[in-house]
Amino acid sequence: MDLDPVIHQPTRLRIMAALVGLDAGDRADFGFLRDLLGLTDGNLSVHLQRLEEAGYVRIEKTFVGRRPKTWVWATAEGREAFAAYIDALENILHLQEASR
Amino acid sequence: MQPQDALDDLKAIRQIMEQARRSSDGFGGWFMVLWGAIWLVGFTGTHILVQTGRDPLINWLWMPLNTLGVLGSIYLGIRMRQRAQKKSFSSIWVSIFLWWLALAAFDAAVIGVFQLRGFQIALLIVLTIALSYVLFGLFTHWINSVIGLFIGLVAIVMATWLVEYFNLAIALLGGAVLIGGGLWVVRRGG
Repeated sequence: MDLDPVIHQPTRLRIMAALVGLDAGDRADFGFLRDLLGLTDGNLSVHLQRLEEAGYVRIEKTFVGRRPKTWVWATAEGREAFAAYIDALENILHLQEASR
Repeated sequence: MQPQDALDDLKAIRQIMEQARRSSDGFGGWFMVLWGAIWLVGFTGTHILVQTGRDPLINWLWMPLNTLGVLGSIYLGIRMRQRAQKKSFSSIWVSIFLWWLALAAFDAAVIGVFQLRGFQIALLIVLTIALSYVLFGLFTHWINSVIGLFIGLVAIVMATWLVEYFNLAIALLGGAVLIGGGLWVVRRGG
């Protein structure tokens, strides 16, 4: 089974795990995500852009007063792709068990 | 991909998902820490004022403390909203706010109708807060129910047998359990 190359990248995998860890309909503040994963602003931005291009996350930039605020959440497509990725990982383990 | 790599990825995924959930849910524990600290200071001060015969000063002690608690709660609510935002965020926190408002109105009505004084007011407020935590725990985390039961038990025991130490017991035991429980919730989430 092929692993989704968009999600397979280690940083993007962690980003998706964090977003899918929240309930459907919840969204994470950019800073919350950055601090949770220990990433730099630039690093997180680059990987979020890639995930957004794949349709796995949605990014919304708003203002709270005069302060910019960026919200991120996993799309339904992103949650399905992430679930499929986990299934693929579990299949790899099952195949190993079966071959013993 | 090698099976060991797949296993490592699955472990990392579960860990991060759990961390994300805890970080967004556990922040509510800070409210308990805030009010635990206020109880610690307020009830200790009340005990000292009662013991030294300066009862009329009790209101002057609690007015700024309660104001601090309300402002602190508003600040924490804003900070919480700035982090992971829940779809049901507004409705949950509005409900909790309305609950505490209704409770305050209920206590005020009982105090007014039955002309409660001093210690009776404190006992009523502590017991209704304890009941609230027990009920919250039924819908959220069990730790809230345990905290409510403990505070209620302390209040009833002290009010029945050691009334002269009621305020001190609520300060030290009630305040400590709120602070400790709050920190536990922050750490564990939920």
